[in-house]
Amino acid sequence: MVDSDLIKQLADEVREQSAIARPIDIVGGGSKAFLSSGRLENSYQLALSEHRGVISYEPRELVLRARAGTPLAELNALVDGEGQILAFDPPDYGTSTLGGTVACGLSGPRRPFTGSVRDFVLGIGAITSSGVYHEFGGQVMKNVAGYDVARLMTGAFGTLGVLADVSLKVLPKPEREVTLMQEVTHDNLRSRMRGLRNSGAPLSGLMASQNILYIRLSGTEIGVRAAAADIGGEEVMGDHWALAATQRLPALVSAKQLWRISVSSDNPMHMKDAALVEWGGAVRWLSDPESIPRLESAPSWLFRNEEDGGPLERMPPLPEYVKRLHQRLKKAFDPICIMNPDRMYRGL
Amino acid sequence: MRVTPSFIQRLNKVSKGHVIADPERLSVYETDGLTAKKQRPGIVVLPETISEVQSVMRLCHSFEVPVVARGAGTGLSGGAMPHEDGVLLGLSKFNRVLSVDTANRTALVQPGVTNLAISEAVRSHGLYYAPDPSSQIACSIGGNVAENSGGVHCLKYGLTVHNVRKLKIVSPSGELYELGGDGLDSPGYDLLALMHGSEGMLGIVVEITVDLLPLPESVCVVLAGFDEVGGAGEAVGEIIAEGILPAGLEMMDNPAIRAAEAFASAGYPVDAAAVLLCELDGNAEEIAAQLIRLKAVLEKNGATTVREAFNEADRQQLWQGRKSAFPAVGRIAPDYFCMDGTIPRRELSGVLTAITNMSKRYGLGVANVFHAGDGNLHPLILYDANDPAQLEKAESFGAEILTLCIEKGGTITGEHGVGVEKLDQMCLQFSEEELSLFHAVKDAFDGKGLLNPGKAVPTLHRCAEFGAMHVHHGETRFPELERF
Repeated sequence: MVDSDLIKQLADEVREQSAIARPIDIVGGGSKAFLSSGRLENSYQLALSEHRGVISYEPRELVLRARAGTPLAELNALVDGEGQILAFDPPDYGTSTLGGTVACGLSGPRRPFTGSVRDFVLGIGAITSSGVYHEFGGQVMKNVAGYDVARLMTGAFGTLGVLADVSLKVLPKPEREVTLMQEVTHDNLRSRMRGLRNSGAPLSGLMASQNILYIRLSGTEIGVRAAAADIGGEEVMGDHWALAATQRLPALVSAKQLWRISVSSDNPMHMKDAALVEWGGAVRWLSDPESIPRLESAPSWLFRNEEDGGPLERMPPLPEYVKRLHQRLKKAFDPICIMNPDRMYRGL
Repeated sequence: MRVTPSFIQRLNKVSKGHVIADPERLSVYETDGLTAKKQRPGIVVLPETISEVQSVMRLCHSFEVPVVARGAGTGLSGGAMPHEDGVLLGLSKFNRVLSVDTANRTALVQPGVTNLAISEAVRSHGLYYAPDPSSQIACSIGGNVAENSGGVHCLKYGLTVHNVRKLKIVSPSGELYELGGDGLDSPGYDLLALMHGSEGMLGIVVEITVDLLPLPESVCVVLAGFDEVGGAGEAVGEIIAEGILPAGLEMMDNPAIRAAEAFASAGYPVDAAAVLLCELDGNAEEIAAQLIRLKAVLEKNGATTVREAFNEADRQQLWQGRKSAFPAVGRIAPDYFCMDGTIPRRELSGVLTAITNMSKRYGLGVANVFHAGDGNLHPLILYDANDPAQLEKAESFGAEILTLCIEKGGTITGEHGVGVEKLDQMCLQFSEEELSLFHAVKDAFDGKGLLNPGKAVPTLHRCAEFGAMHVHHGETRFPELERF
C-alpha cells in the first residue's frame, strides 16, 4: 500500500458528519475491534488505514513521527533497521496501526521496565469534532508549554478526537537480549518476582504462566551475560513475549472471557489462580469464568468477551468525581458527542 | 471577588493559627524563583492537613476568591506568583515522607517534601527517586508535579510524569479525589499525565506516590572539553547514534564553564569552548564496555581533554560545577534571565551561534548551560535589573531566543513552565483554536477559574494585543524576510 496524506479529506469527512451530528466510528487496522463495546447504529465509519506513512524519522534525534494508519509491523521494521526499538513493545494483533495502538493505550512486556505508550508519546496531531486539525506536544524530548493534551488523548479510544499522526520517542536497541525460563511454584512466584525486580538485573520482561517463569534481560552483551549467569535457568528462543502481549499464550488463547487486573507488583491477589502474571507482577490475567473481578478492589478490564450476554461495560468503573471530570473533558473536546461515543464508557 | 474582612474571619476559623495577614510577613511570599515578577498576596494560608486544605478550598470557592498554590517557591517562570486579591496556599507544612514500599518500589510523600529528601529517605533501601532538577535540594515534589520538572537524568529516566504513579488532589470546590493507581495503569483518560505540568491550574496536589529505582550498581561520569562548540554538539548526536543512552548528557559553553569553575572549583578546563558531562550507569561490566565506545566518539569529535570519575566524591565534584551553574552565573552579573527552550538536537550548533550573535547585537552577555541530550537549552541572559533599559533589552533577547526555538520545531519551555513569564510566547507556539481548547480543559476542572488565574495559558485577547503570529514549523508569515 502506498503512503498518503489524507489529512484534508479526513478533516472534511469529520466536518460533514459534525454538521449533521452523526456519530463517527474511527477505524484503523480493525485489529482491536474486540476491545470495543460494539458499534453504534447509524454511525459513519472513518477509515484511517490509508492515511499512512512515516512523516519524519531521525534516528539521532530518537524521534519518529508517522501517520496514524501506518502499520506497526512497518514501524518496527524501520526502527529495527536503524538499531532502535519502540520501547513500549506495542502489541501487534496482526493489522495493528500506530493510531489504534496509541488510541487504545496498549503497551507490551517491556512496560514496567522502560515505560508505557504514553511515556513515549511526544506529540500528536488530532482532528477534533469540529473538523479542525490541531497539534499538541511536538517532536522534542521535553515540552511543558500548555496542557499535556497529547498524553490525555493517548488511551482515550478516540473519544476526544481522531488521532491523525503521532510523534514517538524511540530508544537504542539493546545490544543483546536473552530470555530465560525457570520452573516456579504458585507458592514462591511472588517472592521470586520480587527478588528479580529488586535485583538491579537489566530486566525487559518478567512474567509467569502455567508454572513457568519467563525472564528477559536486555543490555550490553557483557552485562546481559553476567546477569544471566547470576539468575540461571534455561535460555530459550521463540516469541513468548509477542504471544503474551497479544494474549495468545496457551493458557489464554482459547479463553472465552479474559479479565485483566491492574495491581501493585507485589499484591498477592490472584497470584495463584491467574492464567498469566504479566508486567513483573503488575497485571494478572484471569480466564476462569468463576472469578468476579468487578467486585474487587483493583481495577479490572473485561479484555476479551466472546460469551453471549456478558457484561456490557468493558472498563473498570470510575469514581463519581473523576467520572464527572471525564464528562466535562469530553464536552470540551467533543461538545456534540460524535467521536467514538460509548467506545470507552457509556455517554462518553 | 477579593479578600474581604468577612472572608478573613471565616478563613481564620477553618485554618486556625495558619493564616498570615500581616503586610510585612506577606511580602515574604511576593515572588518565587522568577524574582523579576513581584506581587504581594491578598492573604497567605499554610494548612497542615488535607481536610484543612479542603475547607480552605470550599471557602474560597463559595466566596469566589482566587487561590495560588505554592510549594518551595523555587519555580523559574512565576507560576507561584501570588494574586493580589487572592489566597496564597503554601504547602510547606506537608513535609513528610509518609511511607516507603520497598516490595513495590514506591514512596508515598506529601507535596512539600523536597525532591532530594525523597532519595535520602529511601537510600538505605538501595533505592532513589530519579528526576533531579538542579534545585533538588530546595524544590518540592508538589512543585515538580505542577511543572513536570526534569533534571539532568531525564534523557534516560524521564520527567516527573514518568515517575509518579498516583496523586491525591483537592478540587477547586474542595473535593478530594485520586488519579492513577497502585498498578501501572488505571481506567479512563490519563488525567494523571494531564495534571503534570498543569502549573496549579487544575487542582491542588496533596499526596504523591512516586516510583523508586534501585541505585545503580556502578556509575561513571566523563568530562570532555572541546575547542569548538560545534564538535561538542556533534558528539552529542553521535553518542546517541552509537546506541549509548547516557543517564545524563549535559553541555556548558565557555562563559558558563568559567563561572562554574570560579564558583565550584570542579576542575573544568576553563579555556575550552564547551564541555560535555556524560554519566553512564548500570553494572560494572556494562559501563566498562560503554566507556570504550563513548571515549572513541568524544575523541573523534575533537575532545581535547577527557576525564573520568568513578568514585562518589570525584563524580560529585564534576557534577558540582554543572549543578551550581545558575548561582555561579549569578555571581558574575547582577541579574540573569534563565531561558528554557527546547529544540531538536540537530539544531544545537546553529541555535548556539544565533544566540551568540544576538548577545552581540543586544550588548548583553549570555552563558549557556543545558541538557544537551534532551535538546533543552538554558541560556542565561546577563543584565542589571536596576537599569530599566537593560531589563527591557534582556526581555527582548529572551523572547527572540524562544521565537527561534519555535521556528526550529521546538518549544518555548522544556521544564520550567510558562507561568507569567512566557505567556506572550504561548501566542506564537499555539493557534487560537489550540489555546481555546486549553481554556476548555481548564474550565472542565475549574469552572469558576479560581486556581492560579492568569497563568500558563494566555487569553485570546492578550494574544491579539501582543499582535503575535502563530509560528508553525518555522513557516512564519514572511519567510523571505531575514530574522535576526
